[in-house]
Amino acid sequence: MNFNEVEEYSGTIISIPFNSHKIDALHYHIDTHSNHREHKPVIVRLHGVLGNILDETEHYLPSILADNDFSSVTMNTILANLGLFFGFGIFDDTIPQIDAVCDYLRNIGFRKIIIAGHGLGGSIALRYCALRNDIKRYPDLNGVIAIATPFSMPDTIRRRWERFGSEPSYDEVYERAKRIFNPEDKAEPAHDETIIVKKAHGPTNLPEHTEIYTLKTWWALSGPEAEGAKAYKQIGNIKDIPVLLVHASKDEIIEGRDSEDLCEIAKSNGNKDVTHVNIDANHSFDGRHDELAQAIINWLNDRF
Amino acid sequence: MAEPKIRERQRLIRLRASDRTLLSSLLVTKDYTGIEEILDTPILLQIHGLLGHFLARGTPRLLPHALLERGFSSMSLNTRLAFAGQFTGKGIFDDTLLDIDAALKFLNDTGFNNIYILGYSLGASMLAYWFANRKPRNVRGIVFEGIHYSTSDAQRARLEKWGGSPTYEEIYERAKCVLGDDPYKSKRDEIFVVYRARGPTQEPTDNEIFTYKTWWFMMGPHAYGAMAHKQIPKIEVPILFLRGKNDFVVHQWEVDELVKIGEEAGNKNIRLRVVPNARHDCMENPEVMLEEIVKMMNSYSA
Repeated sequence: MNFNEVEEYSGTIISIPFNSHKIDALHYHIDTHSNHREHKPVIVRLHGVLGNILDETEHYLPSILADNDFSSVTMNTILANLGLFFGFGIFDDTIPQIDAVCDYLRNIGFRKIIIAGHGLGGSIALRYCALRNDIKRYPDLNGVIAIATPFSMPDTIRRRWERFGSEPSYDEVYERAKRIFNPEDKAEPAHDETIIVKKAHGPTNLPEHTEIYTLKTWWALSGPEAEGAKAYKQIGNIKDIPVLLVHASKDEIIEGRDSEDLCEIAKSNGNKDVTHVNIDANHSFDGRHDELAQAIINWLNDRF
Repeated sequence: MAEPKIRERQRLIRLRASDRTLLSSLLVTKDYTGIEEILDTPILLQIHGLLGHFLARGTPRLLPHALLERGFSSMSLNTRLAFAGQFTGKGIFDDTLLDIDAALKFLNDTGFNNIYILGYSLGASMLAYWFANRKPRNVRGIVFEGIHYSTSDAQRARLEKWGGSPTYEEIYERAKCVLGDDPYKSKRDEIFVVYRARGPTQEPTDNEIFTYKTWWFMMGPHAYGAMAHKQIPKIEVPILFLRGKNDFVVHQWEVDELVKIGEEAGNKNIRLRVVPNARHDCMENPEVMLEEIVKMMNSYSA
């Protein structure tokens, strides 16, 4: 091992002030030329479930983008790391965080911003762009990329739990969560609690088949009333910017028709620039990162 | 909001432990033209605490840049216990030996001549276990910040204090049942929650989450690696113990005992500093913490 070998993996970690906290982000390819920042889009990347900026999979795409002269910032949202486990990782609270990162990028001279996410990150990206679909107010929001993104996070989770016979069941968790959000007449709202769902991802009690939430984080991400996490309700509101949907044909988590259906909804709501790409890969794009990156780079080069 | 001015070299470095586990670390040094310019500068390898990582608030996040302002380099390591390692079953305390091995190999291979290591909280227990097992010759001194006498005793006491559910004994019985005769090789494991482990409510922030396997090696009654009192007698290099005066996690008797054990084993270079106006995280009083660390690095470097 020598110093030069590790250099290629390097990005620069930055901390962006946000209220009384900071948002950690990984900045790849910090080109300071004003020409680059004015004309080349910067890609804001959102991690998936339990992800963070240091995940191995979060580094493939930024490094290939950098090789093709695209800057990117991968940000830790409030759902990163332990957010879902300790009650503070609320899905819609990611929106002002993304605002803060976009403001930072505007401030340092970037004039074209693309929001991109994988899995849960794709759901957040679509939610964000739907809420910010205002070309006058956000003229620099220039596109959205949703990779392996579920049609509806709550439906995907419910289906998966039913398939493996989760303990507790989706409906049982919903009943418990309702005691916080919709208590019966005169009842005090219940307190938040940690919940462990066994057989959520597979047929055993092993940790890799188990999911952890609190009732509040589950409600905001996976509950039947988690409107923000239903991509099909968001994508129709994205009318003025290009949309790229990438589907992994061997995705073990997302249903095959999800991105096709999302594509149809976007088009039928009037968006004239919706692209759907299929790649022969699993949900993580293991061994297919170059292909994924190339699809994204082609899409970017065609437009910017 | 201005663009951050990155005055120093800050490199995200990814290492493979010998079992191929991928580790991230952050190397912070002054800017340089040739690497040889910084090899004699003392460098502190930093190891995070429970559920921690090198961007976590307090010491992990603040110390590297504070050290750099005083002319020292640092490398902060995310072990396999970083983030949610203890929830996944892969964060086995004893296996962190391999993580620190990988970090030290990188520093040695690069050519750093004055290496120190600091462990914060659970990271201090990892460091004690690593040092006692590896006995490296090229580490000039170590710092234990907020170290427990024994993590298993500490958890047992916490659960008794708050009325943890399940109890420590119930967890132990269940762990034996799930993991069988050879917990390390067991193919069975489960995630569990300890309610009221850190406070009196059912709220998530008062809970602890483990798998039975990660608990066994970190908190269980046979988690010998995480019992610092068993490791300290095997450490012969200079040791600096730091404890915040207002630390409500680690008691004063714990560090007093560890100092006594180390001295009785023949280590003549042990110093304990109780840091005023600090709780578990001694960087709440950076002046005193830095004064002590700088003093050590200046005293023992070549």
